[in-house]
Amino acid sequence: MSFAAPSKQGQTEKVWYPKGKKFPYHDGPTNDQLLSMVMALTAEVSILRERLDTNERVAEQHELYKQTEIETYDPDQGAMAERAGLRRRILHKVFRVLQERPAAPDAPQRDANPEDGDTA
Amino acid sequence: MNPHRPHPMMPEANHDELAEQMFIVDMKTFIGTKIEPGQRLLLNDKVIPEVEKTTGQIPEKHQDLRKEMEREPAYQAWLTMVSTAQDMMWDSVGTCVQRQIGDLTERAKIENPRGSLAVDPDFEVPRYISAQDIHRMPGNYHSTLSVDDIRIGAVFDRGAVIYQLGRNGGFMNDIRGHTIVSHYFERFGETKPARILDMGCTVGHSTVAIASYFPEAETHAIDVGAALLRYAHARAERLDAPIHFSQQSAEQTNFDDESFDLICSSAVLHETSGQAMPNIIKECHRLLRPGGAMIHLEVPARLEELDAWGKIRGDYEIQYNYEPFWKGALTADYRVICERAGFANVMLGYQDATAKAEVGKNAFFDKSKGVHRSWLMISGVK
Repeated sequence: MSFAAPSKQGQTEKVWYPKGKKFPYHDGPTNDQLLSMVMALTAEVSILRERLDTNERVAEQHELYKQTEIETYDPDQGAMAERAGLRRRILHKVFRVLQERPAAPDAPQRDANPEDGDTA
Repeated sequence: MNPHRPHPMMPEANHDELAEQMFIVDMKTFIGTKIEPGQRLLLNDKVIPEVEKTTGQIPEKHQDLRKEMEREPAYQAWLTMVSTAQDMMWDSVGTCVQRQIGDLTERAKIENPRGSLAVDPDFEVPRYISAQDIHRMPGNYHSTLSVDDIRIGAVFDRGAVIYQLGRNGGFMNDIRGHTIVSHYFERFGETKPARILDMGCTVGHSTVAIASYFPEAETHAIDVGAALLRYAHARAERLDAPIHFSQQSAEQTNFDDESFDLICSSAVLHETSGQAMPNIIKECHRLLRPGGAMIHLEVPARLEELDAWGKIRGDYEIQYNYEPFWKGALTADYRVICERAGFANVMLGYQDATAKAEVGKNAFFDKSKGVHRSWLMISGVK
C-alpha cells in the first residue's frame, strides 16, 4: 500500500485567487481566516448531509428500507457503545487544542488526561 | 427543457457540486437578509450615537463613519463573510468547470455557425477592467488561456446565475435582456430595429434575449475577452441565436458611422470609468442612425438616495468586490452626459423587471421598486 498514491481528485483541484487589494486583517489573520474556514466547513457539512439524504431516498426507491426506519432505528448495546466512541473521538479531535493546559514556563508538556496515554 | 441546463454549453454540476452551489446561494442569502440588517442597526444604534457623544457631531462623510465601523468586530466579520462567500462561489464553479473543461472545449467548437466570432489577437484590455478581477472573479473577463479556451465563459455563465441567486431568470440569467426590450417597446412601440449592438455582452445572457424579439435583425455583441466571447458564440449557436460576437472596446469600435438602429448594454456602465463612460455614450451616438435608440440598463440605485449604511455597503463594492466605478456610476449625471453626446429625449427611470417584454405595457416609473424588481434605464434617441 502506498501512502503517496496520487488521488484522481487532486488532479482537478486548483486554487484561484482574485487580483485586487486585500482588506487589512483586523486582529491579525487568525480570526478572519478562521471565519472563512468555518464557512467552508459548513459548506462541506451541508454537502455531506445532502448526499446522505440522497442515499436514504434512493434506498427507499429501491425498497431497501424506508426513510422512516431511520427515525425508528433502535441501536443495540454494541452499536451504542461504538457511537459513544465516535462522539468521544470527534470531540477529542476538534477540541484537541483546547485540552492543552497552560503550564509553568519551564515545566514539560503534560497530557491533561493521562488515561488517554502518556504523550509527555 | 431542464431548467438547470437550458442549453448544452452550460457546465453540469454533479450531485455534490449542486449541493455546494445551492448551499452558497443560501449562504449569500443568509448573509444579506440575516447578518447585513444587523450592520445597519450597529451603525445607527451604536456607532453613530457614540461618535456624536464623543465628538459632539455626526460625521458628514460616510467614509468617516465607515472608519468607525471598521473597529467593530461584527462589521469585520460581515466583511469577511461577504467576500468569502463570493470567493467560495467562484471556487466551486471554477472547480466544476475544470472537471469538464475538455468536454466543454470540444462542445464549443461550432461547425457552420449562423452567427460569427471575431477575436483580435492585438486587443488591449482597458485598464479599468484589467486593474482588478471584477466581482472577485479570478482571471477576470479577459482571461484567455489558449486559442480555443472557453473556461472563463463557462465559469461566468454558471457563476453569474449563482451570483444573482437565480433571480435574473434562473439559469438563462436573462431577465435584464427582456427588461431592455420592455423599455424599448414602451418608448418605441413596434418599430423593428434592423441592426442591434449589445455592448459588454459577456456570455450573451441579455443579448440572446434581446435578439429573440427581433429575429429579422442582425445582432452584434462586443466584449473584451476572447475566451468569454468564444463561449458566448457557442452558447448562442446552441440556443439557435445567430449573433455576431467581436472582441472590441465599447469606447471605440470598428463599426461604421450610423450603422445601428438599437444599441444597448446590460449592467456594464458601472464597470467602466469616469472617462470611459462618456466615451461609450459618444460612440453610441456615432454608431446610431438618426432616430436610432440607445438603452443602457444599470443597477437601480442612486448614491444620494442611500442612507449611511447603504453608502458604506457601496464602498464594499468598490474596495473589495473590485467594482471601481460603482460610486461614479451611482452619481453620474447621465442626462447631461447623453445630451452632451448629442442625444435627444433622454429618459432616466426605472423599468419593471420582466421575463417577457410586451408592447402596450406601462412599466416605466420614477421610483425603483428595488434590485431585481426594477432596473435603471438610461435611454435616448439620436
